[in-house]
Amino acid sequence: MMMNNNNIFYIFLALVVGITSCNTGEAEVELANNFVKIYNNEDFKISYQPLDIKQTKDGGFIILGVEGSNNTYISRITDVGEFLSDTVISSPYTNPLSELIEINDAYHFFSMDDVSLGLHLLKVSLSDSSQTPEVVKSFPEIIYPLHASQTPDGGFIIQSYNRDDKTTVLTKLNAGFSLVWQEEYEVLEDVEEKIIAKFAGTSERTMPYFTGATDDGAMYFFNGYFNFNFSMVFVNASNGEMTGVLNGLREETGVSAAVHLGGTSYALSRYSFGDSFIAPKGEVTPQDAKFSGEIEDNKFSEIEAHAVVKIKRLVINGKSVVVYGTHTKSKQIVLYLYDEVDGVLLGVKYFGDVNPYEFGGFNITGDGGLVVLGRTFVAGRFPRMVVFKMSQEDLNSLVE
Amino acid sequence: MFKPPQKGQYSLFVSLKNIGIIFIFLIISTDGFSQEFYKKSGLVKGKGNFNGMRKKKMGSANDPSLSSGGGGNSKWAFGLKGGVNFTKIFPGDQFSVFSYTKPTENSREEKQYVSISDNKGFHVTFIAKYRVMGNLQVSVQPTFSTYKYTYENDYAWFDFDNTTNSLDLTYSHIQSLNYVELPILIRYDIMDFPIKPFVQAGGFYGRLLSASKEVKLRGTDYAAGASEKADISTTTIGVDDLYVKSNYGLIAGVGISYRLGAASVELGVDYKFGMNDIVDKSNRFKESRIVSGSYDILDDTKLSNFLFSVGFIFGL
Repeated sequence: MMMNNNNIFYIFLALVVGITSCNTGEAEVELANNFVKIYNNEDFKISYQPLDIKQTKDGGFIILGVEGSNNTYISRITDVGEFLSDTVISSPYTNPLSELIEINDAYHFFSMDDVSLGLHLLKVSLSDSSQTPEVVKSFPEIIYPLHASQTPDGGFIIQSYNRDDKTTVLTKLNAGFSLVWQEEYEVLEDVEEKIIAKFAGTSERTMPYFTGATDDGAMYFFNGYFNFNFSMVFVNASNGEMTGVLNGLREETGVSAAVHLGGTSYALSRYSFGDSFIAPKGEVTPQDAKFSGEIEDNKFSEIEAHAVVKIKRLVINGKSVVVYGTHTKSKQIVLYLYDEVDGVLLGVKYFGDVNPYEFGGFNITGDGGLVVLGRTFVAGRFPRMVVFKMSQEDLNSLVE
Repeated sequence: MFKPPQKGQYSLFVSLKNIGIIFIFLIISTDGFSQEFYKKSGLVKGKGNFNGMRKKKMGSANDPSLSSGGGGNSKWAFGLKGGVNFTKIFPGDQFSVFSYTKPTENSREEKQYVSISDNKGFHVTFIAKYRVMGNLQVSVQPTFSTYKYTYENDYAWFDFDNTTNSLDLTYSHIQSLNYVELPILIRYDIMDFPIKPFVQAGGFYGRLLSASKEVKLRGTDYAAGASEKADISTTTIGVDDLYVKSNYGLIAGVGISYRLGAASVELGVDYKFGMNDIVDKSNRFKESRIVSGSYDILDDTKLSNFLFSVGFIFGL
């Protein structure tokens, strides 16, 4: 076989080129699709409590939380999770209620006036680099505000407590923030001390106050003190007249989160003497009085007693899915994904390991992924916000 | 738009299998070439001298100086070498699980890569060499290598009302990567003295066998009354999924060989320059125990290594 030196050289060169051009086996991944970020600082004493996260139009995120025991905390991060800015709002706009509401490219939230105990609606404009919230409207007549949510008609319902009458109060505002109706529901005992403990951050547990509406907007519901118990109360959306109740047992048994699925179907979670239960397709008739323990559900021993639970209806991979977010006794954030149609568990996803992680909130993102807000104790002791971003691919894989 | 090949895919030409075929072809063809050459040049039995000058340059087939490295006079030589290596990291884009909401005195988010002298691993190599002509040889050197590299992160928390009330933590991350590699080198013996210096260069392709990470946590908890840094915990975790399977690049080295009868002893140092990012971007955030537990996310990383070896070569 005749070959010259050049042939050998070329063959060797081909080998070197071949080797060095081998595919590395790595997939290109957009950083914004997946990330984990802990928002740390070196302050030994400071602490944060997460409430809600929403994606902004620039792809970044805005976070609502509590700094210290009751200061309102707003921060912004980029689409890849890098910290941009934050604002701490101290007295009088403290104790923000649970969620951010987007109206006309601005993010709104309700907070309590720690002097008058009244309610303020504040707005954060993303065009304002200082992020200083401005007061949109004050409601001094609504004291001890406990929860607020947007209704299907663009208005709002607000749960509060009337210490004089010892009643839970539900207030309906229209989209222009004007009063539509206000109704009171008898607690029949004084629970002001417990409510003060919530606002002061001194209570051992946070009671699961929430408000919501049915799909068609015909019924509203709230979870709060009613008739000696912590119960889920259904009311007529047009006038606030009570129609039915899902009773708790004092503060030891009750509902911790609920979302209406349609008709008499609700996705619920409940608690009973430290145990947690999930009913992905519970049957509740808003016109009846029923005990929450009668709902057909599954016991979830891994969920921490009195952990925050949030439920959302999402469309994932073309499928209608009910997603539960909470955290476990081993201090991992967990999402349970259920088929909305038949209530079958589709997938479970855990976040966090080794160090403690607690659930705060979650939302779908513009790229079809999911963002989860939580709190971790850095080095086991410093409470800091944490954000997990899942890609659409990873999220879809949970429901396949 | 260019779409990168998916994980595990290789172009037809460059697959390992094809590389092996090409190398076998190389060996066969060079062997045939050499015999043909020597026949023509009259340097083998039954033929007259082809060219006096060439004869002088090429020498005789029985000339020990033409051995591929052993003490014999064959074109082939085989051997083993091994030694220690030191790894230098070239980080690309850097990542941190922390994003700081307030300025810090030192950059807490950047990793501090330790000195190359602290990144010591080892390697064992089988050597097959073929003398192409004169002092020029082709060598394939299948190698098992363990590379180590370390970086640290320092964190601190202060009570600003009482600065003695603080906590310092240092996380040391020690990565151990085990590769099987296939370097292919052209080697040239500079002189034919008993102690022969040589130079060599080529390319290598490595496949990751396994990867592990040891995380050592040390700290001083002044808030708890400590006054000195103490070990807190050590954790070792398999991290195969954090790295891509391939590592390839260029290699160059120098050394000396000394003939001892039928064998020769070689001392050499090689420098390997990895050309690809060895971190699997798709899994960077997915190893929960690393990210959430040890607050670590791998930077984009290219490996380079200095390999110091001693070997024994035997000619056939």
